[in-house]
Amino acid sequence: MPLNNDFYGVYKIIKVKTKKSGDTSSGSQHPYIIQQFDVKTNMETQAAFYMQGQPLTRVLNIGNISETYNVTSPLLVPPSGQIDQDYVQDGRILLNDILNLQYQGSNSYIPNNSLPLMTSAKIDVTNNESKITFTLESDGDPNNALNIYNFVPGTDSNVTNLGLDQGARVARNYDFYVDFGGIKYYVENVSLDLKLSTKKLNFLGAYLPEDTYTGVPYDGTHNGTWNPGTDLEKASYSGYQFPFIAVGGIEATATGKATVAIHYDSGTGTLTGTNYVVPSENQPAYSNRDALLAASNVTAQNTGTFNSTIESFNIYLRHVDNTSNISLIPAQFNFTKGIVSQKNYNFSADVMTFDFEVKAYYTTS
Amino acid sequence: MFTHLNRSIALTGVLSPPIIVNGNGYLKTSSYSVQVNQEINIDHLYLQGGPGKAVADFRNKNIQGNMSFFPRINEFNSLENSVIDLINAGQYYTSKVSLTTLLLPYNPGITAEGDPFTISSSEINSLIFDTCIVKKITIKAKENEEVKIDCEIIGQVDEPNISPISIPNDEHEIYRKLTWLDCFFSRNGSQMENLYDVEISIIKEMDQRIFLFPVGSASNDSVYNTGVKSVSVNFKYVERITSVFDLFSYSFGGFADYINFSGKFGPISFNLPNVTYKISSQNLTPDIIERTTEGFFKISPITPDNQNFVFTFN
Repeated sequence: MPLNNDFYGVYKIIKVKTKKSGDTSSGSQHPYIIQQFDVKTNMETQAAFYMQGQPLTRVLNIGNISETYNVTSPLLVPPSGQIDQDYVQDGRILLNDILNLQYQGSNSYIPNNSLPLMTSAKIDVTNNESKITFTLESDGDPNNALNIYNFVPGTDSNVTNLGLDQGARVARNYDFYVDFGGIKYYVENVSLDLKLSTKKLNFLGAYLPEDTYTGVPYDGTHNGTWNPGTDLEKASYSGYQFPFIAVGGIEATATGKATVAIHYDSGTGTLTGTNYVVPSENQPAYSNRDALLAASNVTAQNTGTFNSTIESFNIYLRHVDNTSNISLIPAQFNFTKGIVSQKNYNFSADVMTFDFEVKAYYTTS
Repeated sequence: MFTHLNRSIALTGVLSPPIIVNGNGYLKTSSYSVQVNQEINIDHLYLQGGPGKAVADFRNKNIQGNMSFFPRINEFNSLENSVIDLINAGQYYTSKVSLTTLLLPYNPGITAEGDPFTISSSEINSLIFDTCIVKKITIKAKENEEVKIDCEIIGQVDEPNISPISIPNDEHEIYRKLTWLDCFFSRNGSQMENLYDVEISIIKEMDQRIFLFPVGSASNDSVYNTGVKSVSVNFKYVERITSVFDLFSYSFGGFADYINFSGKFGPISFNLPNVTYKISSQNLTPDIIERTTEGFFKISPITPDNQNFVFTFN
């Protein structure tokens, strides 16, 4: 039996359609280090039955197309001596490049009309390996001039473009700094969920179509990009199975687990907490709002109040040059403030923990 | 092709410096493996263009290992200070010891971002593991053998030493090892004459948590938090059965209050006034019938707060 390695993904590099500096607004395919890449193409198909004289399926109701990609990419660190933090094309770079394609620039929320669209990203940072999981959506049109993804072999240049020619290492707990709503001590793991709302719309065909098609239609004339300046009169996409996808609001939530330390002060005889717990023997519940706000160590957002002085919403990757830090929150989003919306305390004989949820918000000041 | 024959002297353990406990006491060990422990592997694979394992994983580092030694006494029946320190660290859950080996260094930097081989004096001087917890200590004595102490150590380095260390003066006393003949064991006030193998262990359940770093701090790949979750004292002894009347010392398991299981390993004494016994194990064979009995020191949650709650020294 001959050897056959063609089954194995390890020999392949996946290029994903994103946008790097120098690309046009419609982007191009770039290689990234991928852990898992799942493609799901669905065409709604249901059998329809009528008074038809026969029980067998004669009519199929064929609906719209949906195309979803679930991508997992690790967070890696370049090898020692390589000070270009962006050398390794890991999940952080993929996230930034996808959003470069989706939006017209940093702090710009005007979307480009290019596919794919990122509908969610989850950044998982733990004391073991860390990764980013994306959900991308496209319209499912098989004739897009530039595919969302492609496979290339592991040649010297491709591996170099991937950033693995010098090796790399897995990002660990000592590569991250966190500060969510003031919660930054004894954090064991944190997930940053970015959700972008989208809506799919299909329209009836406009009469007369500008182009006549003899088969499955082209994706308009601009590779899946509808230019409102020049395509106003064209019926590109309307009347076919491939939906228009609209981009809506952006939500960011950090959830995680932290360990609680409670110290018995033998001098005062009271329990004092670190990491936002103060179980006091004398005051298990605060009698009024002022006492609650004034309570020491309780700097997480308290129910019934909006403490606008808690502004932090940051997670950083330590730069290999050891002099700076890189925010993992994409530059396209300007979330720097958060409030703690949920805290669940778990007390047992084992380690005492604290599950938290912090919602981000954006202000201009 | 030439074959060289030349004389060389390799460093054997006999010639190497002994372990220094708490900076001021030598410990002559029969085996020692406490050193830096860090898992480094290349297990991760991705869609990466080839089968070569290109991504390394540098996990967190701690101090870990075992040591064994034979406690010794001088002419005044005194143990070495290092042995007393280790036994006390074994029984008191907030005690730690420092261990200096003079041969095993410690790298205070992030392993993945430093050279594996260094001429940095600060790293060569880092020979002190300053925060070592005795996770388990077992004192065992057996007929016709020396008394032996085994320790399991787990810890971290909080303050890497960057200066040359001072070596304590060598002792000029002569010691002898403790043997079975230095031991004595009793229960309920009566000598346990049929006993020939005894072990007492103090076991700590340990935990070393790994956290992400807070904004504004300096990060490090070492563990920086070691905690003790529980403390228990276990014992085991083996007796020879000499008569049918030995049935009365067969354990059915259960609580035995005021039983005062006590003994001496030379100047090391212990007394377990209340114990929880397991059921004895006794195999009937054509040879001498032996019975193994195990149990636990019956304590309250705050008993380990007492520094010498198991071992005392005469």
